[in-house]
Amino acid sequence: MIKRVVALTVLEMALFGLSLFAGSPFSGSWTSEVELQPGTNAFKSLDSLFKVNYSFGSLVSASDSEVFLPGGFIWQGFGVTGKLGPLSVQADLLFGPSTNDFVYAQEIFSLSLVGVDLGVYWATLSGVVLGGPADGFALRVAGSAGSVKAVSVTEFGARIQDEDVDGITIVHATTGRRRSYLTNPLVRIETPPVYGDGRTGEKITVSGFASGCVENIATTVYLTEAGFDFFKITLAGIELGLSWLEFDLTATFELQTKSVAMAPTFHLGTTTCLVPYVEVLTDAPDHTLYPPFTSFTGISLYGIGLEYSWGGVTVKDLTVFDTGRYAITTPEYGSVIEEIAEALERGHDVTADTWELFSVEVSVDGCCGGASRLLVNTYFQKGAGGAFGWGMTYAEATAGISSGISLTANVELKTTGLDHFGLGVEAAW
Amino acid sequence: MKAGPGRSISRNGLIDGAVCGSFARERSVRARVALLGLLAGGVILGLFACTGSWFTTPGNATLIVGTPILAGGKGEVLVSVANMPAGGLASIAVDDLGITHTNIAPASIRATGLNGFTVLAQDFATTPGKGRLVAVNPTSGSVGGTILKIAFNTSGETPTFRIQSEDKGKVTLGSALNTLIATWELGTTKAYYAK
Repeated sequence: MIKRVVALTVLEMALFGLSLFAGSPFSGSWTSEVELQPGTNAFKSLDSLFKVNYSFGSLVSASDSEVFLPGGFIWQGFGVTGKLGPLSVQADLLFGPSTNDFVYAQEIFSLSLVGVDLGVYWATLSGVVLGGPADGFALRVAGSAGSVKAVSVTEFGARIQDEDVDGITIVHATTGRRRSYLTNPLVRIETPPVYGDGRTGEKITVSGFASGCVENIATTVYLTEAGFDFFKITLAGIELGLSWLEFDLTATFELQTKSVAMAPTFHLGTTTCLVPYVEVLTDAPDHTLYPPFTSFTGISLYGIGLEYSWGGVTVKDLTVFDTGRYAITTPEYGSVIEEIAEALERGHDVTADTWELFSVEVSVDGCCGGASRLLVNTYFQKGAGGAFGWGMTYAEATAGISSGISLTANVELKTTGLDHFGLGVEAAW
Repeated sequence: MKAGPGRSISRNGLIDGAVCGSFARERSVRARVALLGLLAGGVILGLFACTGSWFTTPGNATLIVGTPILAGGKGEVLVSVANMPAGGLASIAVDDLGITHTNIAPASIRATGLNGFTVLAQDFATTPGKGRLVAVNPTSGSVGGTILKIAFNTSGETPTFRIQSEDKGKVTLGSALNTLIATWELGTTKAYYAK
């Protein structure tokens, strides 16, 4: 008991100490959660993220530290962002203290001159990372004339994140903790030499054309050191004369294949709180537009969403009719219905086999200027043994005890019993 | 005289010298900073354009079994993949004796699929210290990321959980394109992977 009182006192003193930084060039946050073993309440894990920013002139330097116990001191990141005259600067460094390793670094310089944006992206990946060591850079030039915008990215052993490619995500294999950055020096080439010289890729995108029934036409061509890679044309907002239906069409031509993706957008009005999730069906297997596609055969309703808010209370209900292809994302990713393959591609976590989610969220003003929130999500799942197919309930509570400090608790209850129990604190100054 | 940029006119029509000087200094500082920024940008662009060199390493398909993380008599191991070809890993089968474990209570071992993977079958009790499992991702492949979580109770100090690296014949990997991934390696030496 005495130990708990001492620990609580130390915690309160630490939080008070952090609040003293308010108004100084220092700002930051500390988020920490302790997970306890269900049943025994014994310690299971501690995830603590401590961020400190320091402003000087037009620059902000940052430090973020993540400790995950029993994994150890997983990440230590340092960064600088800001402007030096017309030059924008961003630099990031990542270390793995648990293994005493330098892991990754990137630098981004960008400059706007007479309507033209110039950017240099450079990154290096340490050999302690599987796939490393690697380094490279990319030059980005963008400009516009009227509504037409052109972007050129020249790759010298590195790619930068855009709508076609991801940046880089570095994962600590033991704990699964990750860090993501914009510049990826892991460029796979046909016959990889250890060192290379010169260009590994060139991507040119021109967008902003409009014509009659199409809102925006964009084209992208990508060439690698091996030659032509792909040509993509996107027609966004194709009107068919129906006020409630629009299509986006993307055709991608590769050296030996061609793919067409069509995304329908249904305009069903903004006054309704009922959201239907629909897809277009074709006569091809999996209802794709690939051969042997010849015609559209109908429209399928694969889910329904209902959401209503009043007086700080939000009630949400999602129903999935095709749990084989669609799933509900976790609260962290917005609790929406998403195609499973797409969710995996985007790195979104989903709750598998859920055919119904009933969610209640209550937000109220807490004491002393803080805000409090309670979220209860109840999932009904295929094959679950609970009443009416109940599979899991997730509850998360946040109690604001001041404008900058709040306490959190979350539990996950499954048919097998209590599966997760965590307590945490969040402080910002 | 007309008032131009950086100049001001007082009520009697004369240019206010102090204000004019202040503006001039400010403009001078801005111009210097802008010039410095341009110079820095030019140097950086010039250096990169001159060298244009880069460095890369061939990325092989890798199966990664993490080291156990332990707390309160319980432990977890994460199984991940990196650089998987042909649309990514969609199935994994580890035959009997393909998994070895020590100081782990066999009956407590529970493998759970992550990120779209579902464990179809698992057995860690038939042969002491050995195990097998089959897991699939029915909707897509994983080029890189975590695919399995193995949870267990410890039965001794320093528990280990490994997929045998010396006999990859006991491990079968299938791709999202319904092809076997024949060339792969077991990642045991590096603490981090990238995707």
